[in-house]
Amino acid sequence: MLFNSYEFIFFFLPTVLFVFFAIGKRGHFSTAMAWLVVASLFFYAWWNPAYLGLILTSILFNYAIGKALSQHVQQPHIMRIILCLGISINLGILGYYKYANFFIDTTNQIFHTHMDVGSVLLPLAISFFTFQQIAYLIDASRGEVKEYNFLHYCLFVTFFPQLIAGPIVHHKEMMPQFAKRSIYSMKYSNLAIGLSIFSIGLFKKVILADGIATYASPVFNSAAAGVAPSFADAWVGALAYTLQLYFDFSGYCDMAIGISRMFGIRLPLNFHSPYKANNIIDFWRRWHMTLSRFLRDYLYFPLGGNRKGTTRRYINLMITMVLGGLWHGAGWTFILWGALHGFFLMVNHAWHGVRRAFQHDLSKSSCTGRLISRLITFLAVVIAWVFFRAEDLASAVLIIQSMFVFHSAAMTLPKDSIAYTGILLAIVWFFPNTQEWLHRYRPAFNYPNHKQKVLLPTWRASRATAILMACAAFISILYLTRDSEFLYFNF
Amino acid sequence: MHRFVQTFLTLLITLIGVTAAINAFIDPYEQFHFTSVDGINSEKYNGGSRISKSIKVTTHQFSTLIMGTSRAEIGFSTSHLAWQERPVYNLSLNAASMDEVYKVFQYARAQHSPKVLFLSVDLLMFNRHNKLPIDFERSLFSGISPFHSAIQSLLGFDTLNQSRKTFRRNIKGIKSYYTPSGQRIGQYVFKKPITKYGQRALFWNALTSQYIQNTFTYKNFVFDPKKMLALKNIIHICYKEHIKLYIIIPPIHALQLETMVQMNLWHDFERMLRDILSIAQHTNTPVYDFTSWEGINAESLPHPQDIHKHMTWYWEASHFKETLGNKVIKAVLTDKKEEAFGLLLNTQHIDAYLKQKRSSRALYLKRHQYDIQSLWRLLQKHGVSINPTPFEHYSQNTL
Repeated sequence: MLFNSYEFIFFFLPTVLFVFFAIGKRGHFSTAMAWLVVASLFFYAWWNPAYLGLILTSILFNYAIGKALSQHVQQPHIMRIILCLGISINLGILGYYKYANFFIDTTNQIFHTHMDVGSVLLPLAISFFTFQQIAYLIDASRGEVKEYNFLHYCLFVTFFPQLIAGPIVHHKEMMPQFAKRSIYSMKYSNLAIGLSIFSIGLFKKVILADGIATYASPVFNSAAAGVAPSFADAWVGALAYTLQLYFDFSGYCDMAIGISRMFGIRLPLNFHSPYKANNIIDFWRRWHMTLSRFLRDYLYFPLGGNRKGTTRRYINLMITMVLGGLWHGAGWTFILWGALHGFFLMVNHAWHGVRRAFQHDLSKSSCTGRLISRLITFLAVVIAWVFFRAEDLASAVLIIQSMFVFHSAAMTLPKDSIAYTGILLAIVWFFPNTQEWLHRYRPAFNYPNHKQKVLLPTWRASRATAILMACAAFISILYLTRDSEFLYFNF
Repeated sequence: MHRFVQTFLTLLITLIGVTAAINAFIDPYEQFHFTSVDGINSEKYNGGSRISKSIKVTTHQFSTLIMGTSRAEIGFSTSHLAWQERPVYNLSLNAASMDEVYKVFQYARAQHSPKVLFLSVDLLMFNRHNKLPIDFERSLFSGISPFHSAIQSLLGFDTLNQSRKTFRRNIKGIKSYYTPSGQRIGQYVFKKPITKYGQRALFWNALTSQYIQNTFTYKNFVFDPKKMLALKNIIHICYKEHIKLYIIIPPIHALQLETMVQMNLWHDFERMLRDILSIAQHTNTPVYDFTSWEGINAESLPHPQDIHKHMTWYWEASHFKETLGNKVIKAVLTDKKEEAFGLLLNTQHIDAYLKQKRSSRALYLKRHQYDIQSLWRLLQKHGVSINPTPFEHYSQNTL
């Protein structure tokens, strides 16, 4: 079930909220939790009931492994074996569903063989719930978490606002919140904030992301058909996709945070104006923050991070980013996208090294310097997105060539695409994001509520704001019929 | 906060309720049938949409279905006397691919299996770039439930927009472009551009915008064999379920054929004919070809100065008039033939037939030099290099 669907907005969400609070009000907290688990599994099964078995098996397996780890925390040798088994099986299942076809196709191409595993359908959210549970197992092996209650564990994995496309949460971030009795009674403040964030997210997704997608898709489709776009089309197409992905993912994250807040649960921040980043290091602190955190804590650090010298640091960065690219999809375009970002990060760290050698203070920079570095960062990100979105390497190269080799071919996209792209870029660069606008009410649990400079007046629970939010929700609902899907669901 | 939630929900529910009430009352897709008020909502203008046609084949039983693209939708009348199995419904869809036709046919036969299928096949139905349109996803053809479709129609912005247009056109007394049996009425569709610019201008404009300039029609056409598989499936189903199937290659103007030749699509056209014949022969399914460089299809364009003169058989290069469609229906369904028009193909004579077809081009070029020179200039203007003798070294081996 999609957040931007009628069945979710009109039936699923109101029903789940109503029953949850009705049960919670009577003090049956475990029953309310069980209701959330059942509702979340129903939410998952709506896509394809056949894969319900897979997620349930994964939960049962990881719960058992986590329990075993907690029980053997004093026996590091046994614990290491259990942890290796747990991680290997998780990655094995993920690898089969996500990468089997890719590896078989690649092997067939290289060795001219004819192996066939049939078409393996990628189960929804498998990347997210697998990573979340791997993080849990590692935390359990470190003695940082323990979970002996199966219902609690189920809720931690399946809680529907974050089940499908993140944020990737830690057990220790979620379960203490569910333990609070206060969340089981309905609070108008949570409802008001949650509805507002959800409406903003829905608007971003349905109006802005799906709107700009109409300019991105024709350019990438033409390139896939071997037709080189014109200079203007290539730039508008690449920028339109950059913005589509931004509003798609940002909108999804807002909706997840908003829905969760209606239940009184704060999710971690996952997206924080990444196109305002001054460099690529900063970009990865703002884009898909919980995935970056996962890759940093469970891949980059265990590889040695920056503790084993500059060369190893760069190698570790490249490995992390290439695997990060592969996580997004089984294809050479994703691998290249990850490698490009790995390269950008290496350049960025090297540049910082040079500046440090000249005893520059990295925390200080001029306004012009920030502007230039922000533009360079943005340009690098746009180029990388072309590889991310393109059907294959050939079409990505075709678009990149058109972007940098001016030729007089006429623009085929409508002229208003330039204006629309410009307006959305202005929103991205100059307007506050949802968290900044609502900072007084701490929309995400890891977001500070200190006063910030923002262009717009901050969110207040006034009647005017309610009317504005209701209109945003209404317009979005009118446009729900537009052909759409969340881009991140594919990952 | 309580007041915020109250205001938010009250306003949202009110706006949604009003939208649903307007859409249900105006009912642009003929889905709810609550009430019909003359001058307000009695005329419907979306009869050709996938949404509307999917509802129609769900709620009504038709013995004969006409399927194909806009050519068939405009050209083939459902009221022709030659139809033996009635009622007849024109289920043709604008810019449909063979994949889509297969899906729509499967849906239609699952509702009420027809006795006759009159299938009009165009080359572009086999174009790899021909994808399912967005309104297919919103229609019952895509497999969504009637309940979901109804919610979409009640709350969609598109429906609201169509409700507004329906209301405005009803007030102005404008007639619907569609008959209740799914045919698009050419007189209404083309009346405005013909009156304003003349038929010659319409002819060239349509050819330019839809075929010469369009990136995803003739310009980058790629023949997709998978789409031929869809046709094979239709033939197989019809044979198995005793549905009488007629496959028609509908008439197109000779200048459209020449455009195909100059844009290097002739190989694909011949390939299509051969492929269709080879899969149809196993079930003895009749395949008729109405394309040619002679007779009706070679009708001269009105002189540039004479913007009031109308063509007899064609609206423009691609879309023929109902009068010509009637000739096709008559030629296929009856034995009475007024003149040689269209041919029942078979695998034995296909080589000779195609050879004759290619050679007849020369005569057309000789007799219609003015029109052909105009077309060549137009093609050259859009970067197409002209080959006056494209069939010179043509042999079957080049296929």
